[in-house]
Amino acid sequence: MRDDILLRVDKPARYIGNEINMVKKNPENVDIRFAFCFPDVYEVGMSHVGLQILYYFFNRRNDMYCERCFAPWHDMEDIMRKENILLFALETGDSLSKFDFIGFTLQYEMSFTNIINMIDLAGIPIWSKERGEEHPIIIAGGPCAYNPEPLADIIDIFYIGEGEVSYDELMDLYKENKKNGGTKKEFLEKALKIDGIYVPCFYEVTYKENGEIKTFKANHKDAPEKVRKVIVDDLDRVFYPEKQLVPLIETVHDRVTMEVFRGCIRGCRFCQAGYIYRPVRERSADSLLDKADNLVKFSGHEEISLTSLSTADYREFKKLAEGLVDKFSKEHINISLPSLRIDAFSLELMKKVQEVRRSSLTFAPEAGTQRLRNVINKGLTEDEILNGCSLAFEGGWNRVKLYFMVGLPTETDDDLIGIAKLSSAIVDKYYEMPKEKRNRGVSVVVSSSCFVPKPFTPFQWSPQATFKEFMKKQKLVKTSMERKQIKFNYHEVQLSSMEGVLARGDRRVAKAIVKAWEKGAKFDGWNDLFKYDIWVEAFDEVGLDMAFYANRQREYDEILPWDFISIGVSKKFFINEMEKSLKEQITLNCRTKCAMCGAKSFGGGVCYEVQD
Amino acid sequence: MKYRIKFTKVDKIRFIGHLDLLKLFQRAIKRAELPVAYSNGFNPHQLIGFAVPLPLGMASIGEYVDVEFKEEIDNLTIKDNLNNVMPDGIEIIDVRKFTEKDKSCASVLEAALYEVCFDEKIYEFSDIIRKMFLQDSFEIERTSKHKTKVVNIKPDIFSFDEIENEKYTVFKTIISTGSHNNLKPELLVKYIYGFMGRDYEPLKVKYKRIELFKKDNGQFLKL
Repeated sequence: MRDDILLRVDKPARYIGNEINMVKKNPENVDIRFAFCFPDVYEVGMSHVGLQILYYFFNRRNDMYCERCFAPWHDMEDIMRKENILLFALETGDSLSKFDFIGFTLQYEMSFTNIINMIDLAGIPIWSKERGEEHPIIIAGGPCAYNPEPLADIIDIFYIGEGEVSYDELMDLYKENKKNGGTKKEFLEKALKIDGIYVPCFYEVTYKENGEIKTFKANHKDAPEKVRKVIVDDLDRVFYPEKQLVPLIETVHDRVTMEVFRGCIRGCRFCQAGYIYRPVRERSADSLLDKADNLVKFSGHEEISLTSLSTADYREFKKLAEGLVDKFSKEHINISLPSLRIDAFSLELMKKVQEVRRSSLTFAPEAGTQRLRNVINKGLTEDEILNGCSLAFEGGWNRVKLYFMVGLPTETDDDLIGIAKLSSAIVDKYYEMPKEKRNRGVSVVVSSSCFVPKPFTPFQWSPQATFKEFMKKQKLVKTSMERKQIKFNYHEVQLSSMEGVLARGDRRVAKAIVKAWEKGAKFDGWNDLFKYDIWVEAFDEVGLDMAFYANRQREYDEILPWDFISIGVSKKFFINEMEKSLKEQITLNCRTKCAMCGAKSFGGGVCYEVQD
Repeated sequence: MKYRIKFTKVDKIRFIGHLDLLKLFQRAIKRAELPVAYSNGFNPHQLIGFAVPLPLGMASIGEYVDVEFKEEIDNLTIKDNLNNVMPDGIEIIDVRKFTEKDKSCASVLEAALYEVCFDEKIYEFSDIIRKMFLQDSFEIERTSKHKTKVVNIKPDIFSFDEIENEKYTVFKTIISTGSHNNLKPELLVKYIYGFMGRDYEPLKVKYKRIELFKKDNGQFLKL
């Protein structure tokens, strides 16, 4: 990128690459050039642990060069469009159009317009059918690939599952096909035989008059009827990088990040991640402690964080946390602890590692009453929260953060008022302490987001509240808050409504996404940049009804757009969970009692743990 | 044990700001496994201090930072270990141990040498400059923290020399830099443009910092 351009944009270091531990290769000497694209701004993308893993995973191959690309910020995009500069990768500065693959990670639905924008900025046609041999193959993976249909006419290949499993096979196949002078179509056909690969152009969808899917069929003999996700069965035996890219500018998270396990034993019924990553597979504390040395040494970071969906459920948590403290506390390296279940041990540990930088305590009750927490299977009781707060207040903490959702299935006004009641009860708990112990006063920050029903959850059939309903609900919570020690925030309502439309969208939704992009939608995940009106107009103009996707009760026998994907958890299980939810019955976590969800078929993880 | 480290910031890395450069050094020192000393107190931090921030986008071949180590280390070890872990564009060019007389580089800094390059050959530039220096004062508006006032920058200019160049007009100048008096080279160039009766165009002038100085017995010495 030219210096005179860098001088004119905000945070020019977003575009210069050259970070610590960046992989340098001569692109002439590789067979496959892969551009790993994160459809958001640099600081967000560089904080993503999946990027860190796959970057080094791909680059461990000598025949492949994986480079990175992020969504340019508006100021840069304006200049690029004005001066006809094509979107480029950070490592070599080469235009993406020269690459063999452009790979997008689909982390959230509201990044879809950025994907389209990036393809366009690379000078590549947006619709897959308009691309030819000269264009790169566009591949996408990540959580939103579990309902790939809204992007099915844009992306060539979806990768369903964990990257470490099938990418080598796919890349070998590509190399072989290229060497033999095979066409792109031939490659796509052969890719159908690889596990976890979905090539949408080999499937056809027809619709009923009422808009529901009538048929979803493969139109190629090798296209599997069901695409089954691929997962790593033993995380200790799979590749994990020794190094991490260390950005030259401040990003969202500047620290060593270690992935502790994948999956979650909890089975909260609203949580897609809790199902699509099943079963839980842990890394051993020994292997993590081993890895930590190099990750710290090669990065120079002064903070280590542990990541997973629920780190408190890690069986070797004590060993790992104490091991890290022993290793690094003398070297002035902080261990950043995720939200833990509050008990004597965790408080002791938090005191040890965070000494004075006492962060606030975080709880995610998600719902205001025990009844509704049972509906969503959130196994956290009011007693646990209040006792945890008591312990923490005694230990010197005085800030509590609470996370809730509104618009959950079966929710009533009582449940909403319950959010305020629970928050007040925490404040009361603080004032139960003798006066000499409360020297600073207490602060409770309550955040409530809007529930978005997601594919592959028991609530995948449930209607989402309309945004007017959401407004009413948030208002009720807000006006019920009585104590001045409580600060109440709520998540952008319209944004969640839009997310609800895209999350359960079908193939036809692509037209609306492209239309919204044409009207200027991008960076939709950014509250201040999201423009709801554009989306309403876009859906109108292409003749699609947002309510059909978001606010409609679906029947169990309806063909859902994502039904052709198998995550190992059966539909029968989800129906059963939905029914139990209506009866306010809970399902125990995987370690306490197997709920027979179907994920055992993967042959590993928690399903085969020896119970102590 | 304190050491003064001289380094460059050239090429693309000059597009990171001062705080990011501080972070970059803190991490580099860790990667280099050098026994850096930490402050006491609630939030211990590495004891390192830069002479003066370099504006984002400006190149320099003469930046300084002081680092305190817990023990004495060979100068060359510091230099080599750091150079092994630095990104392109940052190079350690010199390391020296503090003498008893040394104070922090930020506190003794008085002036800096800049090289300024226009993207054109300005007609009769030396004549213009000669005439300009015949004036008693160089008065120009300086804006700082929402306040604008007219200042005389002539006393902050200690030397001014045009450099031979066939294609472009280039000059070197030593001007006040640091916490006592600080003149941004850009303000001087703005003044020159004004004197020539032209508008200043920021993207047409390139600045490079060459060296930082302290003052000793009226003489400018390298930090």
